[in-house]
Amino acid sequence: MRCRRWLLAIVALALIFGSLAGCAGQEQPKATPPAKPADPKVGGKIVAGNPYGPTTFDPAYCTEQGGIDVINLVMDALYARDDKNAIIPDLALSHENPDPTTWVFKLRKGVMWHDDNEVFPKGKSREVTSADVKYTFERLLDPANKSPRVSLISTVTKVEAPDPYTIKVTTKEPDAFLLENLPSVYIVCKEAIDKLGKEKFAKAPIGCGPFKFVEFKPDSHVKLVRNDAYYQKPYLDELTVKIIPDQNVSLVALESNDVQVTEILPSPEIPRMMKNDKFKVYPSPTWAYRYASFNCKKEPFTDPKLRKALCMALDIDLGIKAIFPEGVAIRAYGPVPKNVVGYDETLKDLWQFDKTKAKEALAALGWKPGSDGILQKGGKKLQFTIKAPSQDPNRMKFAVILSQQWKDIGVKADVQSLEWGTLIDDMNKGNTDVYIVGGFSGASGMGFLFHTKNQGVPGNASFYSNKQVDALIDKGSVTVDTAAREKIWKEAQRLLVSEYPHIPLYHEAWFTAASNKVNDFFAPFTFNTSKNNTWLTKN
Amino acid sequence: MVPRGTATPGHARKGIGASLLQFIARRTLILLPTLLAISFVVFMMVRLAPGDPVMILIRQSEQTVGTEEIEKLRQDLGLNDPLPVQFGRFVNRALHGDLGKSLFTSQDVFETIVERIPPTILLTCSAMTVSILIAIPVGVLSATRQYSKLDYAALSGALIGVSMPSFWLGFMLILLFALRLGILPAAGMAYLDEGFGTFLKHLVMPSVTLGVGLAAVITRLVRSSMLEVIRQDYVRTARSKGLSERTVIYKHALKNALIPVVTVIGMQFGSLLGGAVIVETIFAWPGMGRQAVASIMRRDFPMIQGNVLLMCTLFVMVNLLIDILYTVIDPRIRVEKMK
Repeated sequence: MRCRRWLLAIVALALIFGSLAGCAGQEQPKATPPAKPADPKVGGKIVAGNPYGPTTFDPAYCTEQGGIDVINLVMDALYARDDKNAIIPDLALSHENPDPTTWVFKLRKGVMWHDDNEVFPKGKSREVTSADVKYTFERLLDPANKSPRVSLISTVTKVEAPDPYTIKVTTKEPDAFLLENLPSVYIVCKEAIDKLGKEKFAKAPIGCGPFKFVEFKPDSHVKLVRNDAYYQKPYLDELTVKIIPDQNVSLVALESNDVQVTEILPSPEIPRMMKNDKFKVYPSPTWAYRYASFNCKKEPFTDPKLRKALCMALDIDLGIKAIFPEGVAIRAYGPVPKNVVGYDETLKDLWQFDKTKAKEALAALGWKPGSDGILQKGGKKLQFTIKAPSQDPNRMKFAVILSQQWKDIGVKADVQSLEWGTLIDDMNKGNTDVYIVGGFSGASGMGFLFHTKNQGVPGNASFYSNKQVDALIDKGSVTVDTAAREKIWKEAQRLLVSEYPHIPLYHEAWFTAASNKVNDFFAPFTFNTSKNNTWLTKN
Repeated sequence: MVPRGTATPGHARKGIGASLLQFIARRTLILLPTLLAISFVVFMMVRLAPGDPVMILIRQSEQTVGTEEIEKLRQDLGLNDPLPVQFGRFVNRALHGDLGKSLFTSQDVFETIVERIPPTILLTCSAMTVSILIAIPVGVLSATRQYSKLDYAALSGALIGVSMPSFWLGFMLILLFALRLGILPAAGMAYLDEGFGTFLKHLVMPSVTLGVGLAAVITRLVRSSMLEVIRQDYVRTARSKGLSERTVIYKHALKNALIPVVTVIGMQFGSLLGGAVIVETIFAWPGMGRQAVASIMRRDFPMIQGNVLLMCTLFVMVNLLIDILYTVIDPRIRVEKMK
């Protein structure tokens, strides 16, 4: 009897504790009316939550988003991107193409390297010139440096600096992607790298961007301060990038004002945050492509008619509705998402959901139900495995949805959850039937995903091959004119999509949230470009 | 057993000191072949496990590289060399204090790991402090008041502490103290130069989250160890001599009861030094655990090997310290070593 009373008391305590904590998320903060547009205010500090822990700030070696987010604040590239993903001037004001393999860029004058550091004492910095751009390009291209970012400008054969504000780049063939890649080529200072050494520079970068580097504590934070000499002087005094890997904890940090910006909102919280007047929610300007893929060199998926029949059995819109809040993901009909050259809405015609027609098409190919209800042909069952990465719950859920929808027409598809590295390995070796991954969104990614020469690398792990598509991709890759290139991409897309190597599932945006005191901010992590300059409303 | 009332003579003290030094030297020498064997096992495991770091790097960076460039990258990173050559290169460099460079960032492995040791030690020590401060008094009281309400409450609390997932507790603490009450920060680590108050505020929740689970384990152990000791003849003798209960328990019984507890604390301490990944992730604590898991996910071979090597070294050193601590707690072990 006594024991039971004690047990009840303990359980009650636990419930009270849990409900106290649980209530925290249920009560909506008091809505405040949206602030009137006001003049920018100088001053203030922002702490921005970022889930990616940077490990290096050397742009020649940085491949992870966390490092790139910080590099983008400390360094400038020739061009940047705005909130619509359009390319805008940064260090370069304009460019010309006198011929398809030559690019001439005119640089902005008066841009200075950061001072008050080991390389440039206070007030003793120098101007950024075309020699710095030349050095940056050549450093990336130099095989001795083994830069993993060399593919950004791999077609470049020569870089010349005819005068301090002109840079001339020659490519071995017309490169349709060079301009798109330039926002990722951040200009570095030779003196800084020579004096500090590569390793120290990677931990304490010196750039010419809107913010100066102050401090980096690995996996903790990066502290930056305003660069007073910047051509568009930031309004903010200080910007701290705080590394918070868990998105839910980062959201709590935002709601408790530990941070004023959180780079990625967990998707179930997006609708709630959108309704909360204390915060603003910004969708990313780019959409990531997520897809299921057949292994086209493995039976029975070698037959495009079978692939088409299997696709007809899938209600992908239902899957998107079941998994995502509205607006977070949109149906994909091809690999190229919105806001990217080559996006084609008309590909929708190629996708129809019709279970009856799917069964009929499979029957026409000789697949008949066996005694257990599973379709079979020549003694072989239509049975396979869908592999999905364990760290993405949305893709895992989609795998289960596809499996269930295929089950309805007599196809047995088991779901296997794999750790990322293991999945990539299986994809590379062709040890897959159907797998769900994503990435390489955009026209430049199309070649990597579908060109025959890229079979067996993590891009074309569907082992798809079509010489006509190859020729179109090759042609598009050397067509610099945007309108002409767009036509080629659309043609290539229609051709490959109609053979169904992929099942495009969705294009996914991620959403950034900021306090409503943060103004003129570009998602996902852009505080200062030629089109914006973030500032804080003061109380 | 050392007879009561007999001081250890000077020559005997020198003998004890010498044999202790020999003991430490012996254990340190064993460290080298131990580390070599562990390095070999880890080296083979990561290379035989599925996953290619180059493919993961390309996928992560979304660089559109061709097969030739991939092969060149593998060549440059030394991944195409025969396994014995790769292992030999690693051992040779390690003996010179060079653990190589990360495949992903080209940063020095040793420096990258060492940067994360102080936060890990801080979190480990605070979590252990929290757990010891809870476990020992509660365990002692629970044992001395066996079958009382306090005993049942302690046992139930220990059961809940052992069963409760640390990530759940962590999130509940964040929701309550950071969001609801707003008195503690949600995540991150503060350094001492940011103010002692700020430093402590950031330390509280991660330490408690980690410490509660440990406290639960140690409480039960203290309780059972004390129950065994307080039934010993010498404890009865101490009581019959008229010593106060406090003196009997804390001076005579607890010291003997602590020997197995010290073993467990030492092992827990050693394994925590490897990093508490879940707590580090939830609280954005910049410790070794998160960094080690990230390197495994990316198949960053030099970083994985470096992490394992350093973690093993720390673990072995902690166990050595625990062994030395035994000689402080139990004079019999000291005399045994002298013999």
